[in-house]
Amino acid sequence: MAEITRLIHEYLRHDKKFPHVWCPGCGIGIMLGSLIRAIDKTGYSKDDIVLVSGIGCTGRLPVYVDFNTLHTTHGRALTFATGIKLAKPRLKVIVIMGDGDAVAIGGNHFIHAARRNIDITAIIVNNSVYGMTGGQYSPTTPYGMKSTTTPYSNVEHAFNISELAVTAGAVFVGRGTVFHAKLLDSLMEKAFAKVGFSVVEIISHCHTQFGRLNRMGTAVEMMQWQRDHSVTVEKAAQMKTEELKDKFKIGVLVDRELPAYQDEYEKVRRWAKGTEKR
Amino acid sequence: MAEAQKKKDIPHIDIYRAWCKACGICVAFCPTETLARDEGGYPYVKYPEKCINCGWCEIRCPDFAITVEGKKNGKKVRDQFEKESPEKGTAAPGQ
Ligand SMILES: Cc1ncc(C[n+]2csc(CCOP(=O)(O)OP(=O)(O)O)c2C)c(N)n1
Ligand code: SF4
Ligand code: SF4
Ligand code: SF4
Ligand SMILES: [Mg+2]
Repeated sequence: MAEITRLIHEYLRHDKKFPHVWCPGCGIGIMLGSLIRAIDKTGYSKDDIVLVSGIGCTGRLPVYVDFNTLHTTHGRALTFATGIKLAKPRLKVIVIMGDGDAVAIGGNHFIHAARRNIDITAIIVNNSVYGMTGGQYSPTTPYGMKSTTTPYSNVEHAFNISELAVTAGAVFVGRGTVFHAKLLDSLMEKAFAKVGFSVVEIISHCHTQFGRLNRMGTAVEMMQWQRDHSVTVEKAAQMKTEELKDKFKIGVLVDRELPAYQDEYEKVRRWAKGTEKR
Repeated sequence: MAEAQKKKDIPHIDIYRAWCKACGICVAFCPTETLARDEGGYPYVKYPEKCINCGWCEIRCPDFAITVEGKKNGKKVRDQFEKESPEKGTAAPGQ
């Protein structure tokens, strides 16, 4: 099995400081492993991959890997990625965002990228909180949970990122957890193979902020929580609503075909130039 | 003979202390209790013969600090990595 780590080292930027910046046991490192393995499976060369991130603990990820990488501004990763994809459609563009990045400040970009169905894969690490800035609540902080800005209790209701992506029009939506790291590999592989806007939501833990404030324990205990509160889509189909009350689904939530934006846009170009009749 | 054969088949587990952050994930989710934690919380191989080479410790390690391989597979990952990159770490975090 050591070949797994050998493969990972092929993609790490060894001139960066390791061990990486994330807290001991943070799920982002586990997800980074899945990401590298899944990208390796695509067969793209390093130069054909563009990783774009915003700001946050998750947003630091591209710093560590040897692809074309852009570390942009908080919430705007998808806008930069859209520009790259339209300028160079042959590149594989992958966006890495935190939950705050993706659906708080970047929420509007997220729904419209999905609606347009531009060929980008959005990978979202959902740790239910703003990890980097000190544990403020995010739009995915569940009702009734604490954060540094909801010290009594969060009285708002959380976005379900995957359902939002489905409704907004993404052609592929998968959800996994960092506990289920092998599932993450396969969800990412499927997302990368899809033409159009694909989303992989990764339920992760920020034990040092969210976990601490909500007495959820260590990274290990929060991963046990992920294991105990998730059910596969297949299993969920056999279960009653009542049994699914405190569970979330993992697996492929949507996989459908729709014309992708950059191809449609190319058509418009040809119509406008008169090289093709509308 | 059978004993010697068995010993040869025990997977080799390598823990790279320089990158390990003692989070305990590899130990907690090892299905065979091959691994245990020392006083500092760092993992060590307690019962090497129990390892079934499932690879979960390696896959779930957030810091790429533990590797497992069937003995016959040759070189250790760490050796290879250290040879390629004698100097690790110049960039400062939090750029
Ligand atoms: C325009 C702007 N607003 C606010 C911030 C401060 N800020 C940095 S990261 C962050 C939130 C991070 O949360 P998330 O996206 O969930 O990432 P995580 O750290 O949890 O991985 C915020 C609000 C910023 N850098 N830029
Ligand atoms: S603050 Fe939270 S999200 Fe950020 S590295 Fe630490 S555990 Fe991970
Ligand atoms: S390979 Fe599996 S059995 Fe062996 S130490 Fe790792 S988790 Fe335990
Ligand atoms: S999972 Fe990795 S970082 Fe955590 S204790 Fe094990 S080897 Fe160390
Ligand atoms: Mg977050």
